Amino acid sequence: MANNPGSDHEPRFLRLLDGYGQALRRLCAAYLQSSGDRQDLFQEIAAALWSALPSFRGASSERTWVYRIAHNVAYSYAKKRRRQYQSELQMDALPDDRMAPEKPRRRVLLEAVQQLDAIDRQVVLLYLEGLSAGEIEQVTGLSANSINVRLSRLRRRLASIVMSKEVRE
Amino acid sequence: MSPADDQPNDLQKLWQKTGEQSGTEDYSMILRMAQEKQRSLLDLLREQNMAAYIISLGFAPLTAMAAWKGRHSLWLLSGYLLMTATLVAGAVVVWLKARKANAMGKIDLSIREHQQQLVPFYDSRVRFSKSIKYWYAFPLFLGAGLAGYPIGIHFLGRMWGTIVVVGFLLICWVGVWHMHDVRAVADLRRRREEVLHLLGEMDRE
Repeated sequence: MANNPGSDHEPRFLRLLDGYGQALRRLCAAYLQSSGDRQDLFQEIAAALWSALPSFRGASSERTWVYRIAHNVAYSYAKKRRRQYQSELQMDALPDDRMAPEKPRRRVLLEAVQQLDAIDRQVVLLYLEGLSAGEIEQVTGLSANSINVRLSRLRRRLASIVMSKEVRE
Repeated sequence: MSPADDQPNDLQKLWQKTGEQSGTEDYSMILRMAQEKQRSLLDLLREQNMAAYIISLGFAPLTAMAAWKGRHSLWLLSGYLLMTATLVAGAVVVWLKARKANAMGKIDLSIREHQQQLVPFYDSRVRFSKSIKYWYAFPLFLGAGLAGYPIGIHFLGRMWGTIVVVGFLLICWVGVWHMHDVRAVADLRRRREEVLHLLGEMDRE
Protein backbone atom coordinates (compact mmCIF):
# COMPACT_ATOMS: atom_id res chain seq x y z
CA MET A 1 0.00 0.00 0.00
CA ALA A 2 1.20 3.47 -0.82
CA ASN A 3 2.76 5.55 1.91
CA ASN A 4 1.18 8.80 0.83
CA PRO A 5 -2.07 8.88 2.76
CA GLY A 6 -3.49 12.24 1.76
CA SER A 7 -4.13 12.35 -1.97
CA ASP A 8 -5.56 8.89 -2.64
CA HIS A 9 -7.51 8.45 0.59
CA GLU A 10 -10.89 7.90 -1.09
CA PRO A 11 -9.81 5.43 -3.79
CA ARG A 12 -7.77 3.45 -1.23
CA PHE A 13 -10.76 3.29 1.08
CA LEU A 14 -13.11 2.15 -1.70
CA ARG A 15 -10.57 -0.45 -2.81
CA LEU A 16 -10.38 -1.77 0.76
CA LEU A 17 -14.15 -2.10 0.93
CA ASP A 18 -14.24 -3.78 -2.49
CA GLY A 19 -11.66 -6.27 -1.31
CA TYR A 20 -12.91 -6.92 2.20
CA GLY A 21 -16.56 -5.82 2.13
CA GLN A 22 -18.02 -9.33 1.94
CA ALA A 23 -15.69 -10.66 4.63
CA LEU A 24 -16.60 -7.71 6.87
CA ARG A 25 -20.30 -8.38 6.34
CA ARG A 26 -19.74 -12.00 7.39
CA LEU A 27 -17.85 -10.77 10.45
CA CYS A 28 -20.77 -8.49 11.36
CA ALA A 29 -23.17 -11.41 10.98
CA ALA A 30 -21.07 -13.49 13.37
CA TYR A 31 -21.18 -10.80 16.04
CA LEU A 32 -24.79 -9.62 15.83
CA GLN A 33 -28.12 -11.13 14.96
CA SER A 34 -30.29 -8.23 13.86
CA SER A 35 -29.87 -6.90 10.34
CA GLY A 36 -30.05 -3.29 11.55
CA ASP A 37 -27.27 -3.86 14.07
CA ARG A 38 -25.14 -5.59 11.45
CA GLN A 39 -25.54 -2.65 9.10
CA ASP A 40 -24.66 -0.22 11.89
CA LEU A 41 -21.61 -2.28 12.82
CA PHE A 42 -20.49 -2.40 9.19
CA GLN A 43 -20.67 1.39 9.07
CA GLU A 44 -18.76 1.65 12.36
CA ILE A 45 -15.99 -0.54 10.95
CA ALA A 46 -15.96 1.47 7.72
CA ALA A 47 -15.72 4.71 9.71
CA ALA A 48 -12.84 3.30 11.79
CA LEU A 49 -11.01 2.19 8.62
CA TRP A 50 -11.56 5.61 7.09
CA SER A 51 -10.13 7.35 10.15
CA ALA A 52 -7.18 4.97 10.53
CA LEU A 53 -6.25 4.77 6.84
CA PRO A 54 -3.95 7.83 6.76
CA SER A 55 -1.85 6.31 9.56
CA PHE A 56 -1.43 2.93 7.82
CA ARG A 57 2.24 2.64 6.91
CA GLY A 58 2.37 -0.97 5.84
CA ALA A 59 4.09 -2.22 9.02
CA SER A 60 1.73 -5.19 8.90
CA SER A 61 -0.05 -6.63 5.90
CA GLU A 62 -3.18 -4.84 4.73
CA ARG A 63 -5.25 -7.91 5.53
CA THR A 64 -4.15 -8.20 9.18
CA TRP A 65 -4.53 -4.41 9.59
CA VAL A 66 -8.13 -4.53 8.33
CA TYR A 67 -9.03 -7.49 10.54
CA ARG A 68 -7.42 -5.92 13.60
CA ILE A 69 -9.55 -2.82 13.24
CA ALA A 70 -12.67 -4.78 12.32
CA HIS A 71 -12.43 -7.11 15.32
CA ASN A 72 -11.58 -4.33 17.78
CA VAL A 73 -14.57 -2.30 16.60
CA ALA A 74 -16.90 -5.31 16.40
CA TYR A 75 -16.05 -6.56 19.89
CA SER A 76 -16.59 -3.13 21.48
CA TYR A 77 -19.75 -2.48 19.47
CA ALA A 78 -21.30 -5.87 20.24
CA LYS A 79 -20.52 -5.41 23.94
CA LYS A 80 -22.13 -1.99 23.93
CA ARG A 81 -25.22 -3.28 22.11
CA ARG A 82 -25.53 -6.19 24.52
CA ARG A 83 -25.49 -3.78 27.44
CA GLN A 84 -28.02 -1.43 25.84
CA TYR A 85 -30.48 -3.89 24.38
CA GLN A 86 -30.12 -7.15 26.25
CA SER A 87 -33.72 -8.12 25.65
CA GLU A 88 -34.17 -6.36 22.32
CA LEU A 89 -31.46 -8.47 20.71
CA GLN A 90 -33.48 -11.57 21.39
CA MET A 91 -36.66 -10.06 19.98
CA ASP A 92 -34.95 -8.55 16.97
CA ALA A 93 -33.13 -11.67 15.81
CA LEU A 94 -33.99 -11.18 12.17
CA PRO A 95 -31.94 -12.56 9.28
CA ASP A 96 -29.71 -10.07 7.54
CA ASP A 97 -31.39 -9.11 4.29
CA ARG A 98 -28.04 -8.20 2.71
CA MET A 99 -26.78 -11.73 3.13
CA ALA A 100 -27.69 -14.47 0.73
CA PRO A 101 -30.65 -16.53 1.88
CA GLU A 102 -29.06 -18.90 4.36
CA LYS A 103 -28.99 -22.53 3.41
CA PRO A 104 -29.33 -24.81 6.42
CA ARG A 105 -25.64 -25.75 6.65
CA ARG A 106 -24.55 -22.13 6.42
CA ARG A 107 -27.12 -21.12 8.98
CA VAL A 108 -25.92 -23.88 11.31
CA LEU A 109 -22.31 -22.78 10.92
CA LEU A 110 -23.21 -19.12 11.49
CA GLU A 111 -25.21 -19.94 14.61
CA ALA A 112 -22.44 -22.15 15.96
CA VAL A 113 -19.92 -19.32 15.45
CA GLN A 114 -22.26 -16.79 17.08
CA GLN A 115 -22.47 -18.94 20.19
CA LEU A 116 -18.72 -19.14 20.78
CA ASP A 117 -17.14 -16.96 23.43
CA ALA A 118 -15.38 -13.79 22.30
CA ILE A 119 -11.83 -15.06 21.84
CA ASP A 120 -12.80 -18.36 20.23
CA ARG A 121 -15.11 -16.50 17.86
CA GLN A 122 -12.36 -14.09 16.82
CA VAL A 123 -9.90 -16.92 16.21
CA VAL A 124 -12.35 -19.05 14.29
CA LEU A 125 -13.61 -16.15 12.17
CA LEU A 126 -10.07 -15.33 11.09
CA TYR A 127 -9.46 -18.98 10.31
CA LEU A 128 -12.69 -19.25 8.31
CA GLU A 129 -11.66 -16.21 6.27
CA GLY A 130 -8.48 -18.08 5.36
CA LEU A 131 -5.88 -16.30 7.49
CA SER A 132 -2.77 -18.28 8.35
CA ALA A 133 -1.80 -19.05 11.96
CA GLY A 134 0.85 -16.33 11.77
CA GLU A 135 -1.68 -13.78 10.57
CA ILE A 136 -4.14 -14.78 13.32
CA GLU A 137 -1.31 -14.28 15.81
CA GLN A 138 -0.73 -10.76 14.47
CA VAL A 139 -4.41 -9.85 14.58
CA THR A 140 -5.24 -11.25 18.01
CA GLY A 141 -1.96 -11.08 19.91
CA LEU A 142 -2.46 -14.69 21.08
CA SER A 143 0.50 -17.06 21.10
CA ALA A 144 0.90 -19.50 18.22
CA ASN A 145 0.45 -22.40 20.64
CA SER A 146 -2.80 -21.01 21.98
CA ILE A 147 -4.10 -20.46 18.44
CA ASN A 148 -3.27 -24.01 17.38
CA VAL A 149 -4.89 -25.52 20.48
CA ARG A 150 -8.02 -23.44 20.08
CA LEU A 151 -8.33 -24.07 16.35
CA SER A 152 -7.86 -27.77 16.66
CA ARG A 153 -10.68 -27.93 19.22
CA LEU A 154 -12.93 -25.46 17.37
CA ARG A 155 -12.58 -27.05 13.94
CA ARG A 156 -13.59 -30.42 15.34
CA ARG A 157 -16.52 -28.86 17.15
CA LEU A 158 -17.80 -26.85 14.19
CA ALA A 159 -17.34 -29.71 11.75
CA SER A 160 -19.28 -32.07 13.99
CA ILE A 161 -22.10 -29.55 14.41
CA VAL A 162 -22.39 -29.01 10.64
CA MET A 163 -22.09 -32.74 9.92
CA SER A 164 -24.71 -33.68 12.48
CA LYS A 165 -27.11 -31.28 10.79
CA GLU A 166 -26.36 -32.91 7.43
CA VAL A 167 -27.00 -36.39 8.80
CA ARG A 168 -30.33 -35.29 10.26
CA GLU A 169 -31.34 -33.89 6.86
CA MET B 1 -4.88 -25.31 12.33
CA SER B 2 -2.16 -26.83 10.39
CA PRO B 3 -0.64 -23.76 8.84
CA ALA B 4 0.07 -25.76 5.72
CA ASP B 5 -3.63 -25.70 4.89
CA ASP B 6 -3.32 -23.25 2.03
CA GLN B 7 -6.32 -24.66 0.23
CA PRO B 8 -9.64 -23.67 1.79
CA ASN B 9 -11.23 -26.62 3.53
CA ASP B 10 -14.96 -27.42 3.59
CA LEU B 11 -15.72 -25.22 6.59
CA GLN B 12 -13.90 -22.26 5.05
CA LYS B 13 -15.62 -22.75 1.69
CA LEU B 14 -19.00 -23.02 3.39
CA TRP B 15 -18.34 -19.89 5.43
CA GLN B 16 -17.04 -17.82 2.55
CA LYS B 17 -20.04 -18.66 0.38
CA THR B 18 -22.20 -16.72 2.80
CA GLY B 19 -23.10 -13.41 1.27
CA GLU B 20 -21.49 -13.91 -2.11
CA GLN B 21 -24.88 -13.85 -3.82
CA SER B 22 -25.48 -10.28 -2.73
CA GLY B 23 -23.37 -9.17 -5.71
CA THR B 24 -21.23 -6.08 -6.01
CA GLU B 25 -22.11 -3.31 -3.65
CA ASP B 26 -21.84 0.41 -4.18
CA TYR B 27 -19.56 1.54 -1.37
CA SER B 28 -19.67 5.23 -2.24
CA MET B 29 -22.61 5.60 0.15
CA ILE B 30 -20.55 3.97 2.92
CA LEU B 31 -17.69 6.34 2.08
CA ARG B 32 -19.98 9.35 2.53
CA MET B 33 -21.29 7.92 5.81
CA ALA B 34 -17.76 7.35 7.12
CA GLN B 35 -16.78 10.92 6.19
CA GLU B 36 -19.94 12.29 7.78
CA LYS B 37 -19.43 10.22 10.92
CA GLN B 38 -15.90 11.50 11.38
CA ARG B 39 -17.04 15.08 10.79
CA SER B 40 -19.97 14.77 13.21
CA LEU B 41 -17.74 13.21 15.90
CA LEU B 42 -15.26 16.07 15.60
CA ASP B 43 -18.13 18.56 15.62
CA LEU B 44 -19.57 16.94 18.75
CA LEU B 45 -16.23 17.10 20.56
CA ARG B 46 -15.77 20.72 19.50
CA GLU B 47 -19.30 21.57 20.67
CA GLN B 48 -18.78 19.85 24.04
CA ASN B 49 -15.52 21.73 24.58
CA MET B 50 -17.13 24.95 23.43
CA ALA B 51 -19.98 24.45 25.92
CA ALA B 52 -17.43 23.93 28.70
CA TYR B 53 -15.54 27.10 27.66
CA ILE B 54 -18.76 29.12 27.47
CA ILE B 55 -19.91 27.97 30.91
CA SER B 56 -16.50 28.49 32.50
CA LEU B 57 -15.31 31.61 30.76
CA GLY B 58 -18.80 33.10 30.51
CA PHE B 59 -19.47 32.83 34.22
CA ALA B 60 -15.94 33.51 35.50
CA PRO B 61 -16.03 37.28 34.63
CA LEU B 62 -19.44 37.53 36.28
CA THR B 63 -18.29 35.89 39.49
CA ALA B 64 -15.09 37.97 39.42
CA MET B 65 -17.20 41.12 39.05
CA ALA B 66 -19.45 39.95 41.88
CA ALA B 67 -16.35 39.37 44.05
CA TRP B 68 -15.25 42.95 43.36
CA LYS B 69 -18.71 44.29 44.16
CA GLY B 70 -18.90 42.22 47.35
CA ARG B 71 -15.34 42.97 48.50
CA HIS B 72 -16.68 44.59 51.69
CA SER B 73 -17.92 41.14 52.90
CA LEU B 74 -15.43 38.36 53.52
CA TRP B 75 -18.14 35.77 52.82
CA LEU B 76 -19.04 37.22 49.43
CA LEU B 77 -15.44 37.93 48.44
CA SER B 78 -14.13 34.47 49.33
CA GLY B 79 -17.19 32.71 47.84
CA TYR B 80 -17.08 34.50 44.48
CA LEU B 81 -13.29 34.29 44.25
CA LEU B 82 -13.41 30.55 44.89
CA MET B 83 -16.04 30.17 42.15
CA THR B 84 -13.97 32.29 39.73
CA ALA B 85 -10.81 30.29 40.36
CA THR B 86 -12.67 26.99 39.93
CA LEU B 87 -14.32 28.07 36.67
CA VAL B 88 -11.03 29.26 35.17
CA ALA B 89 -9.27 26.06 36.30
CA GLY B 90 -12.11 24.03 34.71
CA ALA B 91 -11.60 25.74 31.34
CA VAL B 92 -7.84 25.08 31.51
CA VAL B 93 -8.42 21.38 32.28
CA VAL B 94 -10.85 21.04 29.31
CA TRP B 95 -8.28 22.67 27.03
CA LEU B 96 -5.50 20.37 28.25
CA LYS B 97 -7.69 17.27 27.86
CA ALA B 98 -8.70 18.30 24.33
CA ARG B 99 -5.01 18.53 23.43
CA LYS B 100 -4.32 15.07 24.86
CA ALA B 101 -7.43 13.44 23.34
CA ASN B 102 -5.87 13.03 19.89
CA ALA B 103 -3.05 10.90 21.27
CA MET B 104 -5.47 8.27 22.65
CA GLY B 105 -7.41 5.48 20.98
CA LYS B 106 -5.22 3.66 18.48
CA ILE B 107 -7.60 1.17 16.94
CA ASP B 108 -5.22 -0.73 14.65
CA LEU B 109 -3.42 -2.56 17.45
CA SER B 110 -3.85 -6.29 17.89
CA ILE B 111 -6.93 -7.31 19.87
CA ARG B 112 -4.81 -8.04 22.94
CA GLU B 113 -2.88 -4.75 22.71
CA HIS B 114 -6.11 -2.83 22.13
CA GLN B 115 -7.66 -4.35 25.25
CA GLN B 116 -4.48 -3.78 27.28
CA GLN B 117 -4.54 -0.13 26.20
CA LEU B 118 -8.07 0.18 27.62
CA VAL B 119 -7.03 -0.69 31.20
CA PRO B 120 -4.92 2.46 31.85
CA PHE B 121 -7.51 4.44 29.90
CA TYR B 122 -10.28 3.33 32.29
CA ASP B 123 -7.98 3.93 35.28
CA SER B 124 -7.32 7.49 34.15
CA ARG B 125 -11.05 8.05 33.57
CA VAL B 126 -11.76 6.83 37.11
CA ARG B 127 -9.09 9.17 38.49
CA PHE B 128 -10.47 12.05 36.43
CA SER B 129 -14.04 11.28 37.44
CA LYS B 130 -13.10 11.24 41.10
CA SER B 131 -10.82 14.26 40.97
CA ILE B 132 -13.31 16.45 39.10
CA LYS B 133 -15.59 16.01 42.11
CA TYR B 134 -12.97 17.35 44.53
CA TRP B 135 -11.36 19.94 42.30
CA TYR B 136 -14.36 21.29 40.41
CA ALA B 137 -17.84 20.46 41.72
CA PHE B 138 -17.12 20.66 45.46
CA PRO B 139 -15.22 24.00 45.39
CA LEU B 140 -17.76 25.49 42.96
CA PHE B 141 -20.68 24.69 45.26
CA LEU B 142 -18.66 25.68 48.32
CA GLY B 143 -18.06 29.08 46.71
CA ALA B 144 -21.78 29.38 45.94
CA GLY B 145 -22.54 28.44 49.56
CA LEU B 146 -20.08 31.01 50.97
CA ALA B 147 -21.43 33.75 48.70
CA GLY B 148 -25.03 32.78 49.47
CA TYR B 149 -24.56 32.66 53.23
CA PRO B 150 -24.95 36.42 53.95
CA ILE B 151 -27.95 36.53 51.58
CA GLY B 152 -29.54 33.60 53.45
CA ILE B 153 -28.96 35.30 56.80
CA HIS B 154 -30.35 38.57 55.45
CA PHE B 155 -33.64 37.01 54.37
CA LEU B 156 -34.08 34.07 56.78
CA GLY B 157 -32.16 35.00 59.91
CA ARG B 158 -28.95 33.43 61.20
CA MET B 159 -30.32 30.00 62.11
CA TRP B 160 -32.53 29.32 59.07
CA GLY B 161 -30.09 31.00 56.71
CA THR B 162 -27.34 28.67 57.92
CA ILE B 163 -29.62 25.63 57.69
CA VAL B 164 -30.68 26.46 54.11
CA VAL B 165 -27.14 27.14 52.90
CA VAL B 166 -25.68 24.01 54.55
CA GLY B 167 -28.63 21.96 53.26
CA PHE B 168 -28.05 23.31 49.74
CA LEU B 169 -24.38 22.37 49.95
CA LEU B 170 -25.13 18.89 51.26
CA ILE B 171 -27.69 18.18 48.53
CA CYS B 172 -25.31 19.38 45.79
CA TRP B 173 -22.38 17.39 47.19
CA VAL B 174 -24.40 14.20 47.62
CA GLY B 175 -25.67 14.62 44.04
CA VAL B 176 -22.14 15.07 42.70
CA TRP B 177 -20.81 12.19 44.82
CA HIS B 178 -23.57 9.93 43.51
CA MET B 179 -23.01 10.89 39.88
CA HIS B 180 -19.24 10.53 39.94
CA ASP B 181 -18.55 7.82 42.49
CA VAL B 182 -21.57 5.59 42.39
CA ARG B 183 -22.64 5.75 38.76
CA ALA B 184 -19.77 6.87 36.58
CA VAL B 185 -16.98 5.15 38.49
CA ALA B 186 -18.95 1.92 38.93
CA ASP B 187 -19.62 1.80 35.19
CA LEU B 188 -15.95 2.40 34.40
CA ARG B 189 -14.85 -0.27 36.88
CA ARG B 190 -17.29 -2.77 35.36
CA ARG B 191 -15.88 -2.12 31.90
CA ARG B 192 -12.36 -2.48 33.25
CA GLU B 193 -13.31 -5.83 34.80
CA GLU B 194 -14.69 -7.00 31.44
CA VAL B 195 -11.41 -6.11 29.75
CA LEU B 196 -9.39 -7.94 32.41
CA HIS B 197 -11.70 -10.95 32.06
CA LEU B 198 -11.13 -10.99 28.29
CA LEU B 199 -7.36 -10.70 28.74
CA GLY B 200 -7.53 -13.54 31.24
CA GLU B 201 -9.43 -15.62 28.70
CA MET B 202 -6.75 -14.92 26.11
CA ASP B 203 -4.10 -16.29 28.46
CA ARG B 204 -6.15 -19.34 29.37
CA GLU B 205 -4.92 -21.69 26.61
